[in-house]
Amino acid sequence: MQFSEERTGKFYVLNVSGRLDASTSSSFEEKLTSIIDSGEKNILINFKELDYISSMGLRVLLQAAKKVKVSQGSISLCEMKDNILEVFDIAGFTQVFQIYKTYNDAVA
Amino acid sequence: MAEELQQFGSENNLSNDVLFDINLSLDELVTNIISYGFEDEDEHLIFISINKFQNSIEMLLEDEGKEFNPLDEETPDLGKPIEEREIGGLGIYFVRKKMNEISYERNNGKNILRLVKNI
Repeated sequence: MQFSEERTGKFYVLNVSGRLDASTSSSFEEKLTSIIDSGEKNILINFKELDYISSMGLRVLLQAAKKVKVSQGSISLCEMKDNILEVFDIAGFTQVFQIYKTYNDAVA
Repeated sequence: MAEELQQFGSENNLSNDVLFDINLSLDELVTNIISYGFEDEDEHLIFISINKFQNSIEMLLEDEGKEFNPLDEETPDLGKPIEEREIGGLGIYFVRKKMNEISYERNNGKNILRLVKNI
């Protein structure tokens, strides 16, 4: 699992690549927590290079979403592959996160 | 496990979608066994077999952990607002959504789970 970060307009963007499962969720959690703790409120996670997510990955996202909501922030997601979007759909997480089809839609 | 499944998938010409669903289901079940199946810190074996048939993939999972029947799990409440959403039970719910057949038995101190994914 690899990360890169950038700032674009209103978003602090976290690009995530690889697999988000039991073995990688703690490094994802650390990364996301450090971004939130630094005061970022509008976080966009770009899942373009993400190949897989399990409930362990969703757990981290849900905790992060709860955390930023306290400071009136939000977590948005974009560029999800169909399989991954379906996991979010089954979990009812498409209601919890603002999901954009493309990165360009998100930053428009 | 993911790498071995990838290899199984390419050897058997499985679609990415089928492979994803199998991977997710086995991942959630194994994570569950490791997290909740045992009180001690000893090493334990989890037995997994996977076979391709003409129209289906069949999987068998065996562990000697605490009795756990995933079919007894309640469906998580998916409509709650974000503050009240919890993650518990979601993994097993994925398995139930993704697999076409699931059967469970407790035999000789073992959890034996049989999964079928139609292809």
